[in-house]
Amino acid sequence: MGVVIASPKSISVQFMGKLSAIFGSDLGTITQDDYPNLPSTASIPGWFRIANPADWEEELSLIPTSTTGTFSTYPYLLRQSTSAISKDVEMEQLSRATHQGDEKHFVVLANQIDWASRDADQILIGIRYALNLGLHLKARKLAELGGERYPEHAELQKATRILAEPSVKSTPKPADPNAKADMQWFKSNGDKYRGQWVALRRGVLLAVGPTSNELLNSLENPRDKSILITLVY
Amino acid sequence: MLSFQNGELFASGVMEYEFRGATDKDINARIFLRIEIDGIPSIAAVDTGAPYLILAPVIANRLSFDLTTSLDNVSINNRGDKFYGNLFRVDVLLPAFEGISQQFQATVFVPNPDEEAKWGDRPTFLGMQSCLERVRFAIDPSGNRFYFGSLP
Repeated sequence: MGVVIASPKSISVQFMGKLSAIFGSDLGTITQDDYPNLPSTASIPGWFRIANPADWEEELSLIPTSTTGTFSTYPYLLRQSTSAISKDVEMEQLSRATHQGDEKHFVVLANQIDWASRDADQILIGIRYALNLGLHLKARKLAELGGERYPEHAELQKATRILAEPSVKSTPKPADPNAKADMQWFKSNGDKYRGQWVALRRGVLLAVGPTSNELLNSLENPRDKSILITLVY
Repeated sequence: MLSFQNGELFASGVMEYEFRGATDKDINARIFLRIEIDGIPSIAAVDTGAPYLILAPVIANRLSFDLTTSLDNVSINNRGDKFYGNLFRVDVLLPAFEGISQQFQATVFVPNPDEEAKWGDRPTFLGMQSCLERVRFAIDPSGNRFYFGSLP
């Protein structure tokens, strides 16, 4: 059992302190901001409206284990098993932080979530949010956790594979004289062609162009994968 | 090649690098390496502050990526600009001029096609996380030599 306090606006410290005294540590808070798309007149099953915030202590004593109210400017209470609702709130908050581009808040929220208890789709959403914000290390950690917990989930496995540490190939490959020849060309000719696009094969200049498109158009076979195409930096 | 005091090999291969600004406007020089990405030769700037191998669009266009194998809607920050694109896995080769070449599979960021104009003349970047992070490397500025090797 747990208790979630919902309020259109942030709840006062005094109010929270009294609620904590009653409900103990099993207490969470959400505000209207957690449900930005919820109409102000919406009904929320299981939520109890405090009709008069000034007399909330008296009203609390009357709260049944579960009840229903409408969402308005008053605080609401829910007193029932809250585990599922709390998770939704957490994901809503993550979503909001992502859409607002608030990386710092996202990290704080994501670190508070017990990801090990989440299902595969929720972990995948967390990974996608993290990647959207450019939080690559966070995304990898979630992918590692998800990949280990859900080996049958194809999308999660894909994320785990793509974000994994690099894997070094153990088959030794010999030295490459072509690479050395290309680099030697840059050392000898770089200053002359700086700012231009060049095509090289094994250290031999094939074509030069002011743009990559013009260079590619001048090549007989621009799809030849043995050709090095680059701007001369 | 480079070795630890106990004889264990630190680097098994070496290549030479160019040390230049990444663009005309660049105030800092970067280490440019001649690498291969899925078998296609390319020039890339080492950027240990970046994640992944970040492909310049001109290189990305030469590789055949299957979007179904990617993670999409990914963002990276590069030199003050935010880019969106996809993540894939590719083979990267550090070709040795002497010694043994090093091949590894890394995560690559491919900018969305509509980001090409904004990308401008930025090069491909060899980042640290999910790219160079499992490669031992060291540089010798006296000869512009980039030493590399694999972890035991």
